[in-house]
Amino acid sequence: MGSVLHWAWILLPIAYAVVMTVRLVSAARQAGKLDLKKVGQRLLLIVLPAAAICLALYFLKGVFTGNDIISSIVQILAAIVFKWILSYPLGVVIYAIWATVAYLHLRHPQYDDMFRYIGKRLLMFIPTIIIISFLVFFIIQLPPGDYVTSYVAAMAAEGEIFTVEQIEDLRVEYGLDDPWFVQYFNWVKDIVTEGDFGYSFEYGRDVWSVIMDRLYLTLAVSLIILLFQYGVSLPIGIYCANHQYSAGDYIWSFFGFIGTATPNFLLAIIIMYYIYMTTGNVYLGLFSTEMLQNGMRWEYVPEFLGRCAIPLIVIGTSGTCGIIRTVRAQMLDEQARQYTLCARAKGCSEATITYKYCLRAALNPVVSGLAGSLRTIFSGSTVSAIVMNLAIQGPVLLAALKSQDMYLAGTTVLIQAVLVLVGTLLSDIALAWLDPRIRFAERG
Amino acid sequence: MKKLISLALALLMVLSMIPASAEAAYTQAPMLDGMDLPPVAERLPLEPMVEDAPYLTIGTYGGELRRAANSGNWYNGKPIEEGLFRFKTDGTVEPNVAKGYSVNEDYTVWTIYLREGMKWSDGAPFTAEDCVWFYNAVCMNKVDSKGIRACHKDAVTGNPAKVEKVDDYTFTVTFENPKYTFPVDLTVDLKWHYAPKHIFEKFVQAVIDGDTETALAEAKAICGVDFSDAGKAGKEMLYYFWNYAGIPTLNPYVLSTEPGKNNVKGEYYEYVRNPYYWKVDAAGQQLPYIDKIVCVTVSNADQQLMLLLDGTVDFDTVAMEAIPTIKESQTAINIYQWATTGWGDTGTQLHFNLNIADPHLNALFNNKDFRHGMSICVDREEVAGLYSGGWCSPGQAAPQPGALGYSEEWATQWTEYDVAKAKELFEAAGLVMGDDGFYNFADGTDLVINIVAVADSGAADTYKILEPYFRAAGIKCTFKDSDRANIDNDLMANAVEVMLFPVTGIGDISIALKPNSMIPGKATNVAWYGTMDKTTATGDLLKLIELYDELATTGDPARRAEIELQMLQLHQDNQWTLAYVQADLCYFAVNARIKNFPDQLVFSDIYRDAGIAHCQCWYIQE
Repeated sequence: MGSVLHWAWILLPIAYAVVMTVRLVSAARQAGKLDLKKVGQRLLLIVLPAAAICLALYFLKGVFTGNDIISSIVQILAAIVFKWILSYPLGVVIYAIWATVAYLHLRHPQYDDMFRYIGKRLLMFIPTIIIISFLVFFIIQLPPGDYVTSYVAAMAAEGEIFTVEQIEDLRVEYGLDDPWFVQYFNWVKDIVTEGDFGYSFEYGRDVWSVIMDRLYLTLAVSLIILLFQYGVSLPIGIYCANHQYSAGDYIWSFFGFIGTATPNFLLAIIIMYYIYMTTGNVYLGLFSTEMLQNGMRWEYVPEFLGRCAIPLIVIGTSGTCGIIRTVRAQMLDEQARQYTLCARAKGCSEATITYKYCLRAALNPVVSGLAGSLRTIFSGSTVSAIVMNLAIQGPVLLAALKSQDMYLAGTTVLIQAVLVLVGTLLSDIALAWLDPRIRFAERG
Repeated sequence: MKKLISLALALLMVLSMIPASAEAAYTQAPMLDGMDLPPVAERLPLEPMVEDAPYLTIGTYGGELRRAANSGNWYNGKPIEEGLFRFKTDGTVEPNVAKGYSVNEDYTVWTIYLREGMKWSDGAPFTAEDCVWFYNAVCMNKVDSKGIRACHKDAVTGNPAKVEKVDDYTFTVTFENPKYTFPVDLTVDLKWHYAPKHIFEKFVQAVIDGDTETALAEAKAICGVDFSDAGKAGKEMLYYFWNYAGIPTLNPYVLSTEPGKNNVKGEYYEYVRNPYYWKVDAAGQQLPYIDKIVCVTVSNADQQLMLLLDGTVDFDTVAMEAIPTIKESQTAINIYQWATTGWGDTGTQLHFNLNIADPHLNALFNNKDFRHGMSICVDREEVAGLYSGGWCSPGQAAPQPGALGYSEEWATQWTEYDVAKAKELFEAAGLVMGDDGFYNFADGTDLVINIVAVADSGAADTYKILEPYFRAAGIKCTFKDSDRANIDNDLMANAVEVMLFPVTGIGDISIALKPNSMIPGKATNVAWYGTMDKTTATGDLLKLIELYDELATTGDPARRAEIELQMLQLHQDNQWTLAYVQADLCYFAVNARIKNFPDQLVFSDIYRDAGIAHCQCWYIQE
């Protein structure tokens, strides 16, 4: 089985790349865009300089192996060329993806603008991420002191004593004796060349393993909360629009406002206090000591759900009001439109009018709001998570920022940045798919 | 003569053991019954240590000691730590892991005796080799990041001692010049003096050889952690060894090796009983009584308190403000009061940096009249009431009743409230009242006392209480609080002028054993002396440092005691730091089901904080 997978992994990209090349060429011929002379010229113009650059890089890679910035940049570029583009199977996969996109582009000329738009956005990712990573690193190291200072402070608070010499040794050990930009380029170099995001000083482990530790729980908690938010607020928003100024409208709006207006952490404290006063138990975290001790068992499910309810209500309600009010306002707006009147006059059922026509139009701002959600899923609700002692990503990021645990904080923020970029792109695409008017606008 | 006495002592100890070993009826915890282990008598050393302090009652086995941690390291380590020697409650040391010690006539060769038949928690024999190798391989090569501790350095030349094995259960520590207080120094500085050679030999050798690859592979094999570099691995596994699963120890509890329970940075972890633990109770039951220590991770002290109240955590230190809440809780919780060692309440300590670079401020802070004035311009009765809600009494930065150096006179020195006299003192210190009602320097430049503190420490509230008094006495102040790491940075750069609620408050259990907060140059984060050391100190401060240095070469106990008192007298005469409220006690909130928790001890780092409560002797009675 293992060997089958191994061969599949080796052969499939090649097979796919060959197929896509053939289809691409035939599609280009059909579209009348295959000018062999032009292709040859382009290949010469691109391939020769590229080969020269590769050769130069190959040579430079062996020369610049130091710890300075120039060496780091050379190593980064060399890694991109030799470990990514000119490597197997990654290089073939990259080519195959490009060939697929180019093929689809040729095949669907009506979406030319979309392709260009998405392509441009994707290309913009690269400089954006470089700038963000640089800024992140710069800002994290801005406050005076470094991780060693905060480490020594924390240990001293527990009675351990350090000499000046030991503190200097620690700095060397952690690589903090270099200027920050040297540290930055070394960090990027390790990411690009080895896929190594550095290690967390605080945890003494690989950054990636620290993030993975909490990733599943984080995703689970955030997704449940997201589903809760939309699951609760969409129907309420629709109900409120359909029953404007009714008692139900006021009651739901009232609760929605309460949820938004009360700071999450305060709500958490109030609920926890109330539970303690009535049951004598403190529900801190999602798992009781027994669950952590014995692993999850069926008999723990009710208590686990009970424990989930607190963060769900606390964090979930904070976002609901916004969605309820947006949906309500949009729906009312749509219901006053001519097309609604027309549909009603033509005898469409109220359900069709509401769900097929009005809702689809009303969802527009809600969907664009999804862009930020990806980031929140990864590391949102920090303060509430601290209050309720949830073992999710947010508090780790906060602690890392406070103790200047550079690589952990840097990687987390970098992932957030990528998620925001991807989220924005996805929501734009979803919006275009949902709302034809946007597609037409794109095409101008 | 000394040898004779020690021989006689050793003989006496052996004789006293005879009835116990004649009984040989050692028993073990039921938890161990089903396990594949040698009989308990074989697991114990020939002469197990008997925990028979008068306050202890014979306990029963079983149960879990539940804790909530918001920082792994010492919080877990101190309560279960087993030093070669340990402090008794009276401040002297007694053998612990070691069975005893003797010293030659000129105090240059210390001989340490170990317990025959003692075993590591994995069952491997614990011998002198583990102690000697630890020193020669680990400390000498700085593999544990700390290197040679002060206790192993020669009192005159500073050269490291020679540590040699005599036989499996005896080793010697040899100095060039007399080392009068080696066992005490060892207990303060190094504590353990051992590491499991059978586990670490290859790793340490690889680190010494600079073979990082082998070292990291070894580290991974030992504790399952992928360390990023060998230095870090050495520090973590040999210095913070209790934090890693798979490293055998001599402690009563060892970190579990089960996945999900073995990561002290995780949400939950367990320390389980060491089946080879070498202490028994007076009835011959192998300790510890409680099966395991279980620990959940929380974000802050408030959550620790909540879990205490709800009965899911068994013990912790609590702030005095929390006590009324604890008394009202539905869980039965006992409060134990331990003494603390600070000179006055740290929260109200005011440290003037006597080594500040600015010549004006330096002269002023070093002027006794100025400090006197700053002390008496405050109404301590009112401050104590506002500060602690009546829990604490007014006080001064002076040793507490019962501590060495305490006197009524010092405790009340400069504590009267007298603004007029304070102003006279300020003028005597060379300050001149300006037109704005605030004092200026004699040359007319503005005097501003810039006070800093750690954010969220509570110092901001104290400042609000104190500032009106300073203003009324004509002293202009500013206050700025910032992050702890920031403050530490400034302290190391000698950039702190005046500090309220210092990160390291003055006062400790003994000026001789733990001089860091009281003798300039002994720590990097003490606000009142900043970066001052022997080369920059003058006057009484220099005298203080010289007296401390004299201690190292003084063997005569009478002279040593005299030096200690002289150092304290210098502190009393100069009152280099101020405090406005008496030090608070340390409060332990302990679930009533935990028995054998001692009352009225002293909370001190060299006593390993809660470590001196000997958790191996606690048991659970619901």
